[in-house]
Amino acid sequence: MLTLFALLTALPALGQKDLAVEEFFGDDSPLEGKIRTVYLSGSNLDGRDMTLFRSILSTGSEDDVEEMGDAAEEDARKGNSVKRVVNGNTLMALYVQLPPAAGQKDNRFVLFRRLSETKAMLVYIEGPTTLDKIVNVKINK
Amino acid sequence: MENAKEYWDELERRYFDGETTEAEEAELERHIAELAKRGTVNATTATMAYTAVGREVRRSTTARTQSRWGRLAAAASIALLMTLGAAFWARGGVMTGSVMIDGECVAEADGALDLMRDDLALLAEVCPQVDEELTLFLGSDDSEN
Repeated sequence: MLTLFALLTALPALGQKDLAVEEFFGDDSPLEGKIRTVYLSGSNLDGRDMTLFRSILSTGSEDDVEEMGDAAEEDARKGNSVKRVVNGNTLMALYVQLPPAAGQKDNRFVLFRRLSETKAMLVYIEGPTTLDKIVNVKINK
Repeated sequence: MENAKEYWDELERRYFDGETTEAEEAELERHIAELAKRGTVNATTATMAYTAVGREVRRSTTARTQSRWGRLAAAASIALLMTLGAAFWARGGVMTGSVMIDGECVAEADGALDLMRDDLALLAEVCPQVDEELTLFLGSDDSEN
């Protein structure tokens, strides 16, 4: 029983480990500009069909914006649902739904938005929801 | 609610002091499992799980002959708990059911929830350059995947 308990509590923490965006959410994030991060998990997200929400808002660095977009593009290759918004050759937004990590049941989502040349948002979500519902949260609020 | 909290706090204290019976430990394990299901496990329960493994190993050695499967299960539990610990620190020292803004734990989730809604709104905001098909996807309740 203790083995099962340890397994159940350890695995959700590892859902991001195979994703390119993971490095931006850790303590050794490579982002150079000013960042604001948000972390919500568990019962704090009750009623929203999410079990984990993490976001990074980066301002002040063009390199950060490019790196975040590149990482999201890399993870999009593993996605089973991808929506991309471009302006010429510039990636403006990328919404990716990924299958659950090994041993887990919740879908994973990587969401990227370029807000300006030096400002971008990167979001990682886990939950039994779909891409359409996440993107429509604001509209249906 | 307060009495329930006092009950579980007292049971936790007696557990660490080695005063609980097997029936009480089973009750505590069910309580932990419920907390884990609700995403409110914290460092205390993780420590208790680790301690429980050690107690279980000690009991098997002193009370009766330790089975091979018991040793394997104990070793697997410790390995998984080490993984849990690594994930615990990789996440900045928090477990499920937590709220953080800029890496700092906050007591109330309201501020973080407001930021989350703002962040999702930024993601869903229609770009001036978006093509017509994607405008329908982002702006319609009936949009198809």
